[in-house]
Parts: sequence; C-alpha cells; structure tokens
Amino acid sequence: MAFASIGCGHGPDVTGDPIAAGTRTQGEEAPFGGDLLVDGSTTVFPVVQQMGEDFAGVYPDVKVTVNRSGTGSGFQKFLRADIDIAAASRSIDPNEDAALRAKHIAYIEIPIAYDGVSVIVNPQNTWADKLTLSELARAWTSRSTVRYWSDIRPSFPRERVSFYGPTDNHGTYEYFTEAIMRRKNDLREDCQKNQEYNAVIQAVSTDKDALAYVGFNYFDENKQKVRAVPIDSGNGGVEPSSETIANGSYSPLSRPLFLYVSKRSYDTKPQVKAFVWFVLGDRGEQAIADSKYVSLPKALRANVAQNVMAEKTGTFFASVRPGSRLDDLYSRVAHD
Amino acid sequence: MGLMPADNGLLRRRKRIDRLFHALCFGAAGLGVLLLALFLYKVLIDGVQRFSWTFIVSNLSSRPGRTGIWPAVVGSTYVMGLTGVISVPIGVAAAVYLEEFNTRKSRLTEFIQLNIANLAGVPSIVYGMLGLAVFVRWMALKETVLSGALTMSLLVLPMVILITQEALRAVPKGYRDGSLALGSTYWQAIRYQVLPSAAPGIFTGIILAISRAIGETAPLIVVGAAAYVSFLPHSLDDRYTVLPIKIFDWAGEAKRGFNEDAAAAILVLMIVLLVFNSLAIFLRARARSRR
Repeated sequence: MAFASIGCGHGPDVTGDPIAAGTRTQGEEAPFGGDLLVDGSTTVFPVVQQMGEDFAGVYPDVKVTVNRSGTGSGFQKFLRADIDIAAASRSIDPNEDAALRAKHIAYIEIPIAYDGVSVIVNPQNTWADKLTLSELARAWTSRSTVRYWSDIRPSFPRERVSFYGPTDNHGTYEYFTEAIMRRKNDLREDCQKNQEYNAVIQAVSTDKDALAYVGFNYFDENKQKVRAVPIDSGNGGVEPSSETIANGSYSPLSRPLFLYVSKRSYDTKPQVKAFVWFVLGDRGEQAIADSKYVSLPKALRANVAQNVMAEKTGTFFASVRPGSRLDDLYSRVAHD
Repeated sequence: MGLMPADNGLLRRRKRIDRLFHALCFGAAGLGVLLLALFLYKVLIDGVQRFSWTFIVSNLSSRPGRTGIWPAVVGSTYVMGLTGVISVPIGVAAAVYLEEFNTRKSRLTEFIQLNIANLAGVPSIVYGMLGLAVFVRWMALKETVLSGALTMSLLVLPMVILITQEALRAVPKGYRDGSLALGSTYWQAIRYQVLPSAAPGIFTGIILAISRAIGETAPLIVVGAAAYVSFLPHSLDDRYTVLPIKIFDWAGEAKRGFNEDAAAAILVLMIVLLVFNSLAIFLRARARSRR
C-alpha cells in the first residue's frame, strides 16, 4: 500500500485552508484555457458533470468534456493517457494499478463522496421489515435455491420472488456482489438485469414480489414508487439515508466514489490542477449534495486535501474490502 | 352452369374472406401510424412544457429544467454535415464507377458489389467498433468530431452507393449512347447527361442515409461521443456530443425532470431531421424541375 511521492511540485497556489482554494479563484480573471477530459463511472457522472459545468462557468475558456463509459473503460482510457481524470465507483484494482505503473503513469487518488446501494421492494410488500446479510446472500448468490419469499425467511409469504438489478458493467453490480456474496460476479442467473436503473425502478414499482438493488440516489428520487429494505448487519435494521451512509452505520452497502487524476496532467495542465481544487472546495460539495450522494466528513476531507497538496501518488485502497471506512484507512495510512 | 344455392354460399364465403383480408391489410397499415401517433402524443405531453427557444439555444446542464440542448444540436449538425461532405462524393463516385465504367463485370468488381450490399445490412454498432479501432486508436484521431464523422461516413456509404446505383440504372441507356455518339467523352456523358438525370434519385438516397445516421446512437457511443461538453465544437479535433446521446442519457438519469428534457430533445431531434429532409427534398425538386 506504499505510495511513492514523485517529485515535489509546488502544490496549488493557495495559502492557509486548502479546501477554500477552489472557491478563492472564482472572482479572478481566467488565466488559462485548454481542455479537461474526464471519463469513467456512470454513477459518478452526474456529480462530475455538475462540477465540470460549474467549473466552466468560472473558467469559460476551459473546454470541459465529461463522459460515462463505465469505471473499467475509464481506467483503460486513463492507461492510454487519453483522459486527465478517471471517475470510478470503486477503488482502482491491483491489475489496473500495475498496468499504470508499467507505463509510468502516476496518479493522485481522490475519494470525493460516499454512495449507498439500496435494496428495494414494492411499497405493497409489507413483510420484508428488514433483511440480514445472510438472508441477502442466500437470496442473491448464483447457487441460491430461493424461489419464494418464504425461502428467505419462513415467516414471509409463499410468493414467487422476482429479482431485478443493473447489468454487470455497472460498478454497482460489482460492489453489491462483493459486499453481499464476498465474491466477484456471484449473482443468480435469473435476475432480470437492466442497463438503466430507471427501468429497474419501474419494474419494482409494478411488481409486488420484486426484490432489487439500485444506487442510493435512484431510490432517493423514487421514494413514492419503491421502498428500501433496512439492512441488518448485526446491529438491527438500518435504512439507507444520507446520515446512515455518512456515519458508516449503513454497512456494508455504502461505498466511496473516486476521482483518479493523472499526475502529469495535474503538473502540466493548470486547468486540471484548478479543477481538482475546485472539486475539493465548496462548489464540489454542492455538486455532491445535489446529486444525492453523501459528502465525506470534514476531517476526512481535510485529510484528502492534505494528500493532494502533498501530491501523494498511488492508491491507498488497493486491497480494501467492501464496507471498509475511509476514515479508518486514512488514519491507518497516517500512522504508517 | 347455373347458379346453385350452394354456389351462393361459396360466393358469400369468398366475399367474407375478401373483406377480412381488406381489414387485415388496413390494420397492418394503420398499426404503424397508430403507434407513431401514440408515441408522438406521449412525447408532446412530456416535452412540450420544456420545449422552447431557450431550451434549444442553452448550454447543457446537470440541473434538469435548466438544461439546454444547443451543444448537441451543433454537434449533430457538425458531425452530419461532415459525414455528408465525406460520404456523398465518395459514394457517388463509387456508384458511378460500378454502374458506368464497370461494363464488363469482373470478379473483383462483383466481389466489391456483393460486399457493399452486405455492408448496408451490417448493424451500426459494428461500424462503431471499426471506427474505434481504426480512427480513434490506430489513426490516433481521439474522440473527436472528425473520428465521429468518419465512422458515420462508413455507416452511410453503402446506402449512398446502393441508392445512387439504382438511380443511375434508371437513366435510359439512350442518354449515354446519344451523348457518346455526338462525340462526348465518358466524363462528359456522365457529367452532363447521366448525373443530372439521376440527381433526384441520388438526393433521395442521401436523405435516407442521413436520416438514418442522425438518429444513430450506438456507433457514436462506441467512438466516444461525450455525454457532457461545456463548449460548442468548432474545429475537427474538438470533442462533441449529439442529440440522440443526450436523449439516451437523460432517459437514464436518476434526477426527476430529465424525462421531460429527454422528450423535449426528441422534439428537437425531429425538427432537425425535418430540416435536413426538407433541404434534400428541396434540392431534389430543384434538380427535377431543371431537367
């Protein structure tokens, strides 16, 4: 988990609180143009789009492009040095990290927010008051024998369960299977997978016996149509909400979202450096809140900002289990 | 043979089948129109309150209700215009070669002909993969207007070629023979006799090809048309987005309100399509009246 600090750049042109740096430059004359290319996670896209939009509002000469090819595709483009920033709904995996090292592409890792995965049912489903992790695993694993709700818990009615979820190119799929089944790509075959979360919401809202999982923001926007099942990971049922995701009690189904910034772009393109500090500032916070993601706690944000300030490269999260808290990881790194 | 009562029954039965067949055919014709009308109705209901001049000429935004569509309109127009500029000369030249100069069919040209016919039926996503491999990566054009337009040109070329060939075939042989008999060269016969007569048909081909291309989403997603750009593309190496991609994107957004934006964008796409088509129809009509 070592991170090599390549060079010792001068850091952003700020004094004092680095978090305020993003907003500080707002009133000034835009001193640069050029392009800023971001690609990656569909989940992170709405946030980065808003950040890019607001950034372009402050620096109209910068040509901001944000795409959403998916986390994996984003890292591939990052590896080809086609983009400045890769957005990711999971941390970089060891293979991707090794490939980047082999090509001498250094990157700065920036966790920007938390997201939750919500397990949802139809509002008419009155029986599923909460689900434990083992019940979820039993229902969702590829070796599952669950056909009726009563197979999940005997007190549930004997109704056929219909499973829905996103397709496997979604970071949410990967995250859900790893968090619940503790294994990659382990999900029952007869789950109706859809590329679009809205289609999953639509299906669950019309199917009384549905069981599905979606990104927290999709649940949050559709609270009239679907109900989130509280998750019991040993301390009673916890409903997904901004609070439970932020304080870590909605575990293990909350996850950090990341930006991976090319060190070379950060050093050579002033617009990239400015964007990074814009993201870490108040306008970035606003974008996260507007997209219904959950901001990192203040102390952690300061930690992250300090790392960026010191231009630390490499990943802190190479082999992190789903459900781990960033706070813990950062404090561990600090003690190393 | 006199008309027996039994025959009367047979006649009634045949008449009944006739009416049934009529009704079935009418149903088949009406179904498409009905579905289209339903779809248009739904889109109008959803999109009409968002649809305005401000919506058309405003920048893209992550805030539903505040977003515009202008960069996508410009992107679509730019990519499609460039696609036309690239594919029409090449397509028409290829068709002229295959129809006019290739009088003794050789193995090679027959092979080319067969391939063009096949290419016209290849799913568009395959062109996207090809464009990604050749233009974006190998030629290192990156995800720009140029690589998008080149990919779309590949997509529309077979259609332009095939329809131009049809149009050329419809020109009476006497036009060529007459022209050649008067001492003109092949170039002159084609330039002054054949092409002008075939022009209306060729324009129809271009209408159809561009109409197909303008709604294409899949190949452009593959070659990296962006989901968000903060600027208007104005050079060949600019990044871009197009209308169908924004529609696709907004339809899948979590934030409520983007549904209405998607519907309004569909209306804009239809208007752009109508403008493109009427332009081609106008050109066709002019070519026809000149004859």
